[in-house]
Amino acid sequence: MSGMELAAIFSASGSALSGLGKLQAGFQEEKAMTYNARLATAEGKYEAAASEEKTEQAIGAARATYGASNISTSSGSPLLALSEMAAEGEMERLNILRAAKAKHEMYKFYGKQARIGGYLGMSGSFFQGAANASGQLAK
Amino acid sequence: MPEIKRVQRPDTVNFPEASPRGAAQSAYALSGFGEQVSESSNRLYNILQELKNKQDEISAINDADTRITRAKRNIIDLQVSLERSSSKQEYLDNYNKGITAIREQAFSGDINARTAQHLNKSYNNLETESYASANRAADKIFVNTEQAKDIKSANEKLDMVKTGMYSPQDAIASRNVKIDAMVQGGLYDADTGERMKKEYKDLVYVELDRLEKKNLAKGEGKVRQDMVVDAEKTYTNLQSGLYDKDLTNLDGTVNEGVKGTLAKELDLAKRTQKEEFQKKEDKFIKDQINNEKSIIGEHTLKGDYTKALAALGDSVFMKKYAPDDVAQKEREIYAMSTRTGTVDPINSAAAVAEMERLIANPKADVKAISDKIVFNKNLDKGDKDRLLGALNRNYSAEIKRARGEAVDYLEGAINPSVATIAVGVPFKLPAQAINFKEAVWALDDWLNNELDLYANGKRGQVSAREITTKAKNLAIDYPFGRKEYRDARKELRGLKEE
Repeated sequence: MSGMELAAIFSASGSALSGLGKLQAGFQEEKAMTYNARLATAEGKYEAAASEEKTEQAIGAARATYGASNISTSSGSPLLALSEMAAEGEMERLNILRAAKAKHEMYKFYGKQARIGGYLGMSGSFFQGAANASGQLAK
Repeated sequence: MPEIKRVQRPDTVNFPEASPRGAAQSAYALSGFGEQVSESSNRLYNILQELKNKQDEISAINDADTRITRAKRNIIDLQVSLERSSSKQEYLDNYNKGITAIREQAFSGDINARTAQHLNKSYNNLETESYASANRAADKIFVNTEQAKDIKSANEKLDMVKTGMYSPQDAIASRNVKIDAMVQGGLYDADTGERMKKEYKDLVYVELDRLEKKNLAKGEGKVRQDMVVDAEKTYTNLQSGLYDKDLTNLDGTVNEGVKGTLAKELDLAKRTQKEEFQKKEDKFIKDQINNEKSIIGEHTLKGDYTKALAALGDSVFMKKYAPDDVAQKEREIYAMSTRTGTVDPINSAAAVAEMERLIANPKADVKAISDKIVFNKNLDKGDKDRLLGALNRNYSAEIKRARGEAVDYLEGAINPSVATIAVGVPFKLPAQAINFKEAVWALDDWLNNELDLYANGKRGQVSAREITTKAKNLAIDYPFGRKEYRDARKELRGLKEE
């Protein structure tokens, strides 16, 4: 086996290794993105809970104020105000959850793209290595 | 009732989100590691690929070079094989055929694209160069073949010049017209045409010059041949114009320069020949005279004077070239033949002393002295034999000189002149003359004996001092004493009374 043939084989092997690396990198990136997606969901849930609690506190404070003023909160404007506050709080909580969901989906998408990129990178390297090697060996 | 303190729960809770990036960090690290491995491997692959490319490139270049080298060699072989083509067209036709085959061969066999690319580039350059070279070679062949034609044409023109049908100037002019036409027709470029015109002129002139020299050399050879036989006659013939037709220039005029040189040579040669002839003749006559003298001398030495005189009478050369010598010899021989009794000892001693002096001279003419001895009437046979022996003996110059001095000494000591007659002739006595002769013979006997001992290695070289000492001793042994002196006076008186 000549030196050139050995060099061609090494070159092809290097390309294969590079392809495998790229595939592995795709998988790793996907994993990272999946993790990030889960993290985004968890964060959303946490922030939603926090928002809910905050809304409850605000409503509770308002009730207390109303109570101190002997204002009934079961009818009339106070009730409307409290209802508004509760509705706003719920809207915020839902927004937070939606945003977390969107983030989760985005990360999942990135993860999928990274996996596809890994496959493509591996294929590219394989094909490039094969082409080089075949070209070199053919000479 | 105590006041109940309400605990206010916080609105939000902030749990930390999981970071996808952080969660997948290890996976990303793994991916990154894989990418690094891949990238490094790719880089390594690229480096290896580059090396391989370079290796392939080098291999391709080498392969291309090998093919190019082979092609180059083939092209050179092709060009060499075509050098003897008879014409430019033939050369180019065959070259094109050959170069196509070489190209096919160069691109044949297993050849990759890279090699082909290099080969194409190099081969195109090679082909361009080789085409240029081939064209030059073809041009050269063209010029050479044209020049060969020109030389042939020039020789034809020269023949015509020789026969008087063309003047050299006309020949050149005719050629120039031809070359002009060829330049105009595009066969020669202007430079080549001009060059050939000049070369052609040179060719004609050089050829004419050579031809003239050849003709003249032929004529000169003829004269010199005759000169060897008889320079004087040849000289006369040259001056009278007999050789003029052989010593002409191409225009028919006589080459006076060559003729003058030959005349000088002949003048010298005829004198030399005369001198040489004279020398030869003189030598011949001298040899003949010596021959005749030798015959006469032999008879004389034997005492056969009749034959000696007859030989003298028969002599041809002596009579013709030495008549005085003949007369003298005739007198001498006649005197010897008519002599009665012994030779007068005084005259004999005087003759011996004279001959000894002649012999003592290191540069003596042996033949002349021998002649004087043989035909001397005052010497008897014994004296002659001894003197001839001394003459012919191969004494060294030193011995000759010492012996001559010794004889002089003996003559002075033993045989001095005792009186002088009025006419101035020295008068000597017979007794002292005999003593002197005997002393000389004794000296010669001693000297010859010593020289023989030396020749046999029984003694050293004989010195001049030894000879002188011997002469002094001999002067004592053969004295000119009072008794002898009185006897001499008596003898003198007796002679006077007579």
